[in-house]
Amino acid sequence: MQAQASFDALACAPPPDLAPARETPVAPPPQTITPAAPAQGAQASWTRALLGENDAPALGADLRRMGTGLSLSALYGIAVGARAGGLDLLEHAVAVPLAPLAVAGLGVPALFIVLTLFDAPIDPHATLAAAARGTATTGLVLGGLAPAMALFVTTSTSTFGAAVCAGLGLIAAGILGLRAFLRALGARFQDAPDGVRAFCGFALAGFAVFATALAARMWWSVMPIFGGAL
Amino acid sequence: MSAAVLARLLRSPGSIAAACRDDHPDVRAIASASIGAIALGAAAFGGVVGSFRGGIQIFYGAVKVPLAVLATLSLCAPAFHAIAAAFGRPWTMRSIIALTLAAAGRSSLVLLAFAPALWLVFDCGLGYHKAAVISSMAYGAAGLAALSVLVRGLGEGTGRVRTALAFLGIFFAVGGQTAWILRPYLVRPRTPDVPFLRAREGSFSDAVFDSANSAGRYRDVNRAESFEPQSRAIEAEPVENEETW
Repeated sequence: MQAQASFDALACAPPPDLAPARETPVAPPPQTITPAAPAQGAQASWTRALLGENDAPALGADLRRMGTGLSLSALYGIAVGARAGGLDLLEHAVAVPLAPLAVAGLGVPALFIVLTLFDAPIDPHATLAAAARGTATTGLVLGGLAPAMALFVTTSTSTFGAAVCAGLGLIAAGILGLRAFLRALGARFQDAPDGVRAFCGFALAGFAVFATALAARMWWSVMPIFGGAL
Repeated sequence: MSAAVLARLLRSPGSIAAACRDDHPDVRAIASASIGAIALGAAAFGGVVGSFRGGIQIFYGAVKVPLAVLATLSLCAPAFHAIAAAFGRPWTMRSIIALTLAAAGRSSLVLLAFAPALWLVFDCGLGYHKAAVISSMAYGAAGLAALSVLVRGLGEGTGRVRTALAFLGIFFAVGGQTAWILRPYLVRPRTPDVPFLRAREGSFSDAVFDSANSAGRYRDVNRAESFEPQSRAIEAEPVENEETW
């Protein structure tokens, strides 16, 4: 009896505020979610502010965004350094942000010069904003992976296994950061003439190769878990 | 723990996922019901798996399985938050945590449903390896139930598949490692003493690699046997590993 009553309560009379909205064949209204266009009903999130587009160009906002990304990258370094502890924590915390910093500081200005040389519709602020967005994306992903990475590096018995895990996280974050940078910059070339757009495509592809090589070289040579040293 | 929310979690994962994603006022009730479901469902499943040996292992299993689930969720949530944002879904951390809790809550309810059947087949004298396979299959089915909440929670828009695959990859890696360090779960009845945790032996990825190698060795042996029936005593005796799971 009691069981039947409970079943009835479950099946028939849910409270009005928790009434299950049954799955229906009608497709939900399409919802395009982009960092710049918040999902309906969602609260403003910190990540939206970090990765979204600025309403007005502001050097300070871009630098803050880049700084936040680098700080989050340092968190990943601390997680990787937790394997050995002590000074390694600090060394990794410094080493991890060096690669995105090097790409933003060395690669992006060079890319800007090359693009400007071929009259691409780009300005320094847009380039800086794209770099800030890429750095912030890399940092956010690294920061998000940091707790899981702390688990992997501290519970792996072999240093090789720990290094592989750490490397996979860096690769994933690097790819996503590069993607964010290229998309932010590539959107500027949509209305450019075909020739310029084609050249910009080559330049961005070349930049992607350069940035990957530079980041890999930096991380490999300065992170103690890969046998490097600061 | 509201029965209505639990029913909704099972019947209507789409509405639960949408409520989590949109930070609906229900989120609090969904999260608390999900935590209750994890505690109950995973503990029951863990206890049943532990009952293969019996004794203290029932208690250990009932503690460790919910612990593994909750630890995995706490480690995965920040990564999910970051990955979702990087793929164009910059939701609040609260939404992400609610979504992952709801997914885990649903899978725990499925585990709870499997527990009596699993106990019955154990009680009928199922062997160790078959028990391991059946327990893994039950866990896999529960994982699929969780996946349906997660995928619906991602909503429409670009990058949905990539985000789901990234979630899966992270969840599999973190969940595997967490479960690995909390072994053993399934222990042979003849094992005299059972530790709460085994000594650290490699990692989950090492174990997967070793198992793949081991499977290759079995394959080679079988192939050799099919060509040379007389040379059966050849190398590669498969290693019987006690308390692997």
